[in-house]
Amino acid sequence: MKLNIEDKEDSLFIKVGGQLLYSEADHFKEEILPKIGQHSMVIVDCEDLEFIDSAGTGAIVRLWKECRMVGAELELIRVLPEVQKLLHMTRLHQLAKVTGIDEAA
Amino acid sequence: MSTNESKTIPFEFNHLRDVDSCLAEVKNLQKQLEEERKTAKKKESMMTKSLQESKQMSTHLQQITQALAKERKATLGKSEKERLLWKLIERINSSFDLEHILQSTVDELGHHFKVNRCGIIIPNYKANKDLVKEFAIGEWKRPQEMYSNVSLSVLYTTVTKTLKPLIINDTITHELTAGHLSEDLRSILMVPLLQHNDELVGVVYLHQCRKQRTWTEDEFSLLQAAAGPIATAVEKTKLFNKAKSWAAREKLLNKLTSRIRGTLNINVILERTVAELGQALQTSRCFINIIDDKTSREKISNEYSMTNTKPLGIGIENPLIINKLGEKNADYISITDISKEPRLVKLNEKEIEQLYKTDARAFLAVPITFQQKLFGWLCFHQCNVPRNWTNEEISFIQSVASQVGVAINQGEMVEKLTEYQTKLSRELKQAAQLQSVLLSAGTDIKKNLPIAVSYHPHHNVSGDFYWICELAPHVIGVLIGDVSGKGPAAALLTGYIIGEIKGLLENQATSWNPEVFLTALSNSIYEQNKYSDFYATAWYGIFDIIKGKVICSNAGHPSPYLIPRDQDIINKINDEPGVPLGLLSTNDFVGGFTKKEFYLNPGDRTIIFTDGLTEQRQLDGSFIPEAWLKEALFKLKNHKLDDIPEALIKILNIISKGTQADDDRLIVAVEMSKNKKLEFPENNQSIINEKIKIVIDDAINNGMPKSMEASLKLGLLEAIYNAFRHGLTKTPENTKPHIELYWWLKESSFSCSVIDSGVGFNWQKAIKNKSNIKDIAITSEDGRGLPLLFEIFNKVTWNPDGNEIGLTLKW
Repeated sequence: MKLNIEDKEDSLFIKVGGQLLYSEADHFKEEILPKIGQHSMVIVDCEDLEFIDSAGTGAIVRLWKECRMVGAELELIRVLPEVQKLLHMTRLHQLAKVTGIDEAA
Repeated sequence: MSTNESKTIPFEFNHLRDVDSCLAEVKNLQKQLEEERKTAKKKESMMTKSLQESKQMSTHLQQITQALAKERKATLGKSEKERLLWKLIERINSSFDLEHILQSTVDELGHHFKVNRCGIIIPNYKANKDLVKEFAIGEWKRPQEMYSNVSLSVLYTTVTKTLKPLIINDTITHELTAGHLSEDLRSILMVPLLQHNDELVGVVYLHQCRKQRTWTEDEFSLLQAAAGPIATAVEKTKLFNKAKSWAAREKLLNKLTSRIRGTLNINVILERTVAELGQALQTSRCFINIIDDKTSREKISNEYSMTNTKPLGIGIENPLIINKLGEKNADYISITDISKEPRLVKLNEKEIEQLYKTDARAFLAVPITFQQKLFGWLCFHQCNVPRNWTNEEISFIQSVASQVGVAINQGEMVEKLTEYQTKLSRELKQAAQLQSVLLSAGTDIKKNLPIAVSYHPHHNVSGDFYWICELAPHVIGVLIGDVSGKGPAAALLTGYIIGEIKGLLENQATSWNPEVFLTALSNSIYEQNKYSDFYATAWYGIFDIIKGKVICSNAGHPSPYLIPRDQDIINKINDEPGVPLGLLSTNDFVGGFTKKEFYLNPGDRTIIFTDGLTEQRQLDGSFIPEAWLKEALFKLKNHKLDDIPEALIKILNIISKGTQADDDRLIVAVEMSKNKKLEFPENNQSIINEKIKIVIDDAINNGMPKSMEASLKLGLLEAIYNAFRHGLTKTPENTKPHIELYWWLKESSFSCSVIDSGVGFNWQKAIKNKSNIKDIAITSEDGRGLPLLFEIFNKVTWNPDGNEIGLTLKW
């Protein structure tokens, strides 16, 4: 998994690549969660995210919970269709705004 | 006695010595002579007496001879009468030809009595006509037309009324005949012919013409004596003719009856009935009036008419009018002569007109009934002439009508039966379809265990059944059964059993344990059997293709055959068949069903079948010895599995020489398969990814759409992660921790089993209390694995222990 986190004014911009799997889920949470609370918007760019499993989606759910606690909004953008399908399977789209790679943000 | 006899007295001159001695000698002689004289006199007296006696005897003899001569003369006269009577009797005994008998008799009597005419009259002998036979000599012969009318004469009427003989010595002076008869006919002797019950059958008469004749007592008694045998002859012939007529009618009745019973075509029966009856009874018309059940209208269904009689017409409405003349529910209604029928007053003018329109003079109608239901009338018309319907005729027609009633009822029953059969046949087809639908859920043999089936039901609906159940991708249950009996009832029980099987297969406690499964199924059928006496045999085996293990149990079913691939032996599985299902409550038989376990190598085969295969009869009716099956299996050892069941049926047909199958035939052939396998010794992400890629590539190469790649990958990852996280950690100490993945690709489906070395988990509890297993607590960070599996795969199963998960994905 590749992870790149950037502060852009009021937003926290996270770019995730490769596969977000059980083995990387803890690492994902450890890297991102401490940064939640200083931004009103958290954007996860999934352009390079190839695959996500139940543990990966669990990590995103944890991220959503943190955001909600601080009143920040979570958005997953540029999600590849395959991943988008997996996110739908886990009902993640019901928690956070999920935008596909071909959709306008 | 005569005295002329001489007697010589012996005299010896030698003895004459002196006078004295001579005198003495003379005296002696005189004495002798005197004695001789006395003796002769005595004899003469006796002879005279004897002569007198002889004269008396002669007179007596003469008297006796005279008496004897008289007696002989009387005896001769008597025997002549007896001879005549015997002759008559013998003639009567030797023939039934009454006309011939009567002619010979009048000839005989005429000659005997030396009369000018002798005749016999039998009134109403045939077809209401008199039979008259007359003997006459010379000028006294007269035309038949003349003497045929004798019965109309006053004399005849007098005799037949009084039943007493009529003796007219001189017609000129007799009160009955004086001035009425031709002077030529001078003396008449007429005697009634009375049968044994004094009923008159006719008269016999003697005519003396021109010269008056005084009939002697002997003549009168002889004629009267002759009247007896003649009456007997008439009675005998009448009885014979009656018997002949009865026999003919009985024959016709039997013919009609057998025809009625021999065919179900009611119209053919009725058509022939009217024709045969019409001809037999010589009636102008014979027809059947059928009453319509719904409208109560009467129509002519069948009609026979003589060539010179106009038919009334089949199919026309023809209400029976004459039934208004009889009593209600009368046995028959008859009219001898419509022109003299007093009961016609009961009819209105239109009805009378309609009767006359038929040109019939005499009518007869007999009701056609069966079990008190009136179907119609068997009707007869005699046109132009009156007809006195005799009791025999009516009774005969009633017998026929009763048979016609049976025929019509039979016809109606056949109609109903045909309707019922059509309905039943339709329902059977529906039942067969339903059974087929019910069974189809269990007949999908496309499992990871190679299976071939041949199913030949004996009826539309069958008593044999089988059910192939995928308990897990690598665990296949094979159930085969045979319900006692055949046809719809057996099919119904089969339907019930299938319902029960479905329920029991849903429950792992029964579906994964053959003996428990059969016990539960048997108890269920036993409960139903309170209302019937059905039972079923069944064999249930569970094939684990990963372990090569088979566990099975047998409820009175033929044991399957085992064919090892690498050995030249074929044996029956020693599965200890138990009691058939439903015969006993499992509480009532000790030990219950036995569970047997055996192992198969890849390529080893099991042949499971119903008794239709082993209880086939040959042409001679005996069963084909079961050894044929083993021999056939040897022959077919190298054949493809798919070909084996049908090849077995073909061999059986050859052995049984085409004898029709007695029972359903069902064969299920199973072959242990070889499987693709991957092992996951450690929880290494990249190794796991790599191995999963092998599986996914295989799936894609076998037709899985690329679009499903991610889903399958996610599903497999989730299953393997679960095994690592929840399964492997619980591996018993003496076991090396490991995870195995087996997968199979069939047409449009992927299936796999992930097996870990752990003790398993309570998956039942994990999925319990969830209305929808796919529901995810969206705000929960974990617990997504199981819902994902159910979301991704079409089928997710675990073994009862929970350390083997089976996944199936279809596209």
